[in-house]
Amino acid sequence: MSELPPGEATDLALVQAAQAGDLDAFDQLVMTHQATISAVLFRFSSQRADLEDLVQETFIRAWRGLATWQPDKPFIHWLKRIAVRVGLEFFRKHKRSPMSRLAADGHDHLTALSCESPAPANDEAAQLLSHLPPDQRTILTLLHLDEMPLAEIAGHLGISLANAKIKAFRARRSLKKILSRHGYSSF
Amino acid sequence: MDTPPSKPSWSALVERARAESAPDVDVRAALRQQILSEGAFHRSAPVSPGILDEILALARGLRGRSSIAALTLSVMAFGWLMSDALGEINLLVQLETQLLAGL
Repeated sequence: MSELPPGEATDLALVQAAQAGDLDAFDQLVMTHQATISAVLFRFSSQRADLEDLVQETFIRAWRGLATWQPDKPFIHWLKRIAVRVGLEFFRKHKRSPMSRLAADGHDHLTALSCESPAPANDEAAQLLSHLPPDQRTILTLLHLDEMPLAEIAGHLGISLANAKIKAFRARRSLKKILSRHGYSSF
Repeated sequence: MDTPPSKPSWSALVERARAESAPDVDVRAALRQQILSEGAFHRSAPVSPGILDEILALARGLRGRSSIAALTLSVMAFGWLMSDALGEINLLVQLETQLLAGL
């Protein structure tokens, strides 16, 4: 344990305390990592209410599954893995981005993007990606918007790197068609 | 003179999107409330030992009368324990073993 970097040693101590039922220790873990988890999940939805739900769901699952964390890997990696899965489920439930839902409800698309979103470019990109199947959408969301390495994405999704590469290739190919259909120039 | 494209390229859009950052989110209060509300589900949540004794006493009362009734009670106890103390698998196994031994 002494070989762990200071942050991870702290995480380990806090996880052990939280497992023993110490809610303050879990609070401390949340405080340390919620900004990182928010940053990942922000790419899945920039709408504050959705984002808060996603972050909360990630930490609730972490709380329930604390015993399954393997301390030989950093706690934040394990948390990000949960977050990515929560994000993927969110995409499965919401086939279209929040901005598309607004447009479908009769809002003018561009007005909605410029006036109602705290992150117009993120939402515009998310709306284009929302035409992809959820797994491909997740991969490109993390790869392009979060700049997460493909190997890390594969690990979080529990698929092989080769499989992730194939899915990313197919996703890019589909995205090119989507971009062209919506008048955007390609990569 | 050519009109400039009204929509950006994907790379330009992505670059702008990356510059947008997540708002500050603090879920600690909501989390604490949710965790406390489902405290019984936590593996370390205490379950009164008296509960096991009461169920066993009921099972012993049925012993010799009807093994079907005891089995029914066992199944009911299983469902009740699962809903109230999901993590207490050891307690559950102990209960099932003793109930079966009592038949």
